[in-house]
Amino acid sequence: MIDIGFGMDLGLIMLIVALIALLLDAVFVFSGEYIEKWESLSELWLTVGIAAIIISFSYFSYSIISVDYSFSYVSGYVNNDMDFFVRLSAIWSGQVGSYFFWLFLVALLYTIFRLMFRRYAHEPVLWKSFVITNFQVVVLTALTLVNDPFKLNINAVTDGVGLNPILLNEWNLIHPPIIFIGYALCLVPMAIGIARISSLKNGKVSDFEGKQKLDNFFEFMVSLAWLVLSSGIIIGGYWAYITLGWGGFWAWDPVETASLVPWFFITLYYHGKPLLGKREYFGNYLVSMSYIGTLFATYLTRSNIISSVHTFQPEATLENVLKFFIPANSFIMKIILRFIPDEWLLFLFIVLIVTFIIPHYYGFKSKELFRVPISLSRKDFQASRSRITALKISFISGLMCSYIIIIGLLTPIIYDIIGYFITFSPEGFGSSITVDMVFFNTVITIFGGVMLLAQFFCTFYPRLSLKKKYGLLISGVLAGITFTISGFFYRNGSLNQILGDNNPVLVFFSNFWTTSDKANLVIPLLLLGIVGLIIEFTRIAMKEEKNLLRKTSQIMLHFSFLVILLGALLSANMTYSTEILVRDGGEYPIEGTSIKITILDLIREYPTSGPLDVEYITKFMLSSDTRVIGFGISKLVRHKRWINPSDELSGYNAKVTIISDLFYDIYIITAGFNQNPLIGFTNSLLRIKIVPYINILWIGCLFLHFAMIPLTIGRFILLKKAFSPVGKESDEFNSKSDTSENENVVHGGNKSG
Amino acid sequence: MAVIKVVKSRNVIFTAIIIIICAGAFLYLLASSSTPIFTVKEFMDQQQPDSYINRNIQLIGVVQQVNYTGFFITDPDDINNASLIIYINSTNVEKPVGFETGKTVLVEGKLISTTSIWKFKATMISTKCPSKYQDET
Repeated sequence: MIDIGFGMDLGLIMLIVALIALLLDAVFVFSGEYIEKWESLSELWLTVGIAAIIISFSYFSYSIISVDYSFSYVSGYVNNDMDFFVRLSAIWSGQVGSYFFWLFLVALLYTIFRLMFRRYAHEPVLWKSFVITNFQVVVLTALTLVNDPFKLNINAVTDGVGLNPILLNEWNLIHPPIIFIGYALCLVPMAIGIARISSLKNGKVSDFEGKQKLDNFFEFMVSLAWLVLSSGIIIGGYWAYITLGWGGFWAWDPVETASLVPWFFITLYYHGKPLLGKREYFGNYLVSMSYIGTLFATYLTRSNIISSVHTFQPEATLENVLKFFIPANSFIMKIILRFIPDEWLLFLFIVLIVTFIIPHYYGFKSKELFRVPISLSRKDFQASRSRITALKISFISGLMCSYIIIIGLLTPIIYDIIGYFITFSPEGFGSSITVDMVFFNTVITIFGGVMLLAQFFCTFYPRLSLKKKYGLLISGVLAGITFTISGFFYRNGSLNQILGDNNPVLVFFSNFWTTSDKANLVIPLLLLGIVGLIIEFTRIAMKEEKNLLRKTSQIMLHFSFLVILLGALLSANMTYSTEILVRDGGEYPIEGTSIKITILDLIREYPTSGPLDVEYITKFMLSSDTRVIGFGISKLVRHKRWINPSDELSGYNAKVTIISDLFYDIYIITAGFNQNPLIGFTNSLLRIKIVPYINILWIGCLFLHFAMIPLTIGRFILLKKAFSPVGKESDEFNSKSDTSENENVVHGGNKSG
Repeated sequence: MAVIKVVKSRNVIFTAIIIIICAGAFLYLLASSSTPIFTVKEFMDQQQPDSYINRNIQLIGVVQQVNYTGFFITDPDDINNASLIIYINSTNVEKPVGFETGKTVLVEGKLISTTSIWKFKATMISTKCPSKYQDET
């Protein structure tokens, strides 16, 4: 702590300086051409602002790493038992810490953006982009400041609360920052997108100095945001799978779902490009919506207005402020509080609403919003247009799916508001509701199904004639129906009776029939699509066609999505779980499988030092009829810190042990134990879950990165080229050849859908 | 011209019918996927709690007295109020990591009875992301 008097710390002063400097930057940026040399003055204050943010954030991080308990944030999220890396993760684990981290990222990006395009600051599109970005950075600085990350503890603290044991792992170090970086990366494209939207003439942005560079920068940032968001979501799913959710990688929790929204919009941006032609509104709209989606997800997380496992608990103090103007418990107060529980969240709410209104306002004003290709006409069903129509159907499905998911997310709030209006009482309907995963799964199944079918005319077998494509699709549907019906009869035992239990065909298919008819129907179609993509990939790779990188990446992206879907359907619908009470030396078959578990040892240990009070350790071996699958240790530990003396069962935390085989994961957790005062630890209750084919899903996720990383690198090369001396020259002289070459790569990805 | 108008009006009607059917299906799906959610106090204060027997609902409460067949939950805003307590039967329900006494959980399931101690059969239990409890920090 560096106390500078008045109960204030240096870090807080630096944040105040940052806010003032950024506000001055805002004044000069907003004034634009009205003030002479506004660019230089604005850059001066931006430099001061960003320097203050970097200093205060570094100081904040240092206070956490060096365990400075003078700060209430440190004592709230760090304790003496946490090692360096876990302490590092505490930077973003609390409410204000995550705001600060986000601010640090967006301030850096804003500065990079300003520096890269300082030469072109006088151009209206760039000037507007600066204004919008500055506005977001100022608001986030204010939000961080009012939450005060440098709040001092009144009393001396010798040990802090620390993080919950579940967060004491490496994934807390990886997943949250990646998600924050992804969110921050959406900021500049959103600003450019809205600036472009507001500058449209006949649906197009006129040429201006630096346009080519800005276009390349925009494309690079969008592709990078897409890559980072995808990684963040996948890593979050993996973390949930191995630690938090006992084998579930996706639960459609509102905050999880909201985090998908920005990703959906960027995906739609890429998917919709060939349909949007030269009209620039909707592409920029979708990219802008991705950042608005991040604000939406952040607002849901911070405000707790929808019940979620991820939400912070806001202070709910707006009522205290408003009660001087609006009667407490009144109808209006109830409605306001339903949306905004905390006065500080008012900042975020206003930013969200303003940023949401701007692109829609310009869309309505220019009527571009009504020119979006979301309708189908008879012309679209001509054989010659089958490919583009399939793409259009996919795009419409994706768009509808995104908006229906958003409506589903907002339904609990809409329900409450309708309740207030219908009953005209602050109590509304008397209860709130949640929308469960059935809704989201059904929506994804319907629209994903339409997209899957459309792909048969677009991506899967592009070289086949239309007639053959129809034939292939019908074969796939018939195979799906046959697989579903046979799966149904296998489940009720009829097929076993007719063919016999050891029938090789039955034994083979029994490895793939899931418990869901919907999944069984889709699986053959997915496999057909995967085969089609592999064939197409091989053809392209062998022939070394033009735009090899773009085409192979495009196929790999589609391939990855299909593989992810296949893995998700198989694993979610074939998971099997059981509980077994075991003793030392026992051998227990896992019912319904050929796997058995042999208990090698049961140990109870009382560590003499460290945070643990006691450890119950079960050593085991897993084997099938023919081979040993693996050895493992399952632990149930009791943390001294979390023991409640009045409750014997408090403070326990079970660590998940996963034994991975090629085709399945075996989850084991010690759920309980028996101990005898005379002979000690006698039994352990093992909860076992077998998740088949989950690795298919992770392989799909890996392939997704293989497809996205080259695309992002490609965009970076184009960006670098645009900023190289040749690129500068070509930009200044608006070289036609350079422009067309770039267009070919940047936009060419969409020519074939 | 008249023919085009008829065709156009037919198209409009056809499109409108499809939109209405889709919107209806969507609203039905939304309504059937919606589950009422209460804190323990909100639920026990209901005028006709018996109307929720055998209906799927979600309860938010703080875990107390865990045993092998179930546990009790109390109201998150009034943990020590002995009158606001519901017994949750959780046999054959997976408990998420982080489930333990004193933690706020979301329990989905059905109300079984409201005589003497209220009993609830859980079908799903979830815990909150643990870093997000400001009251613990």
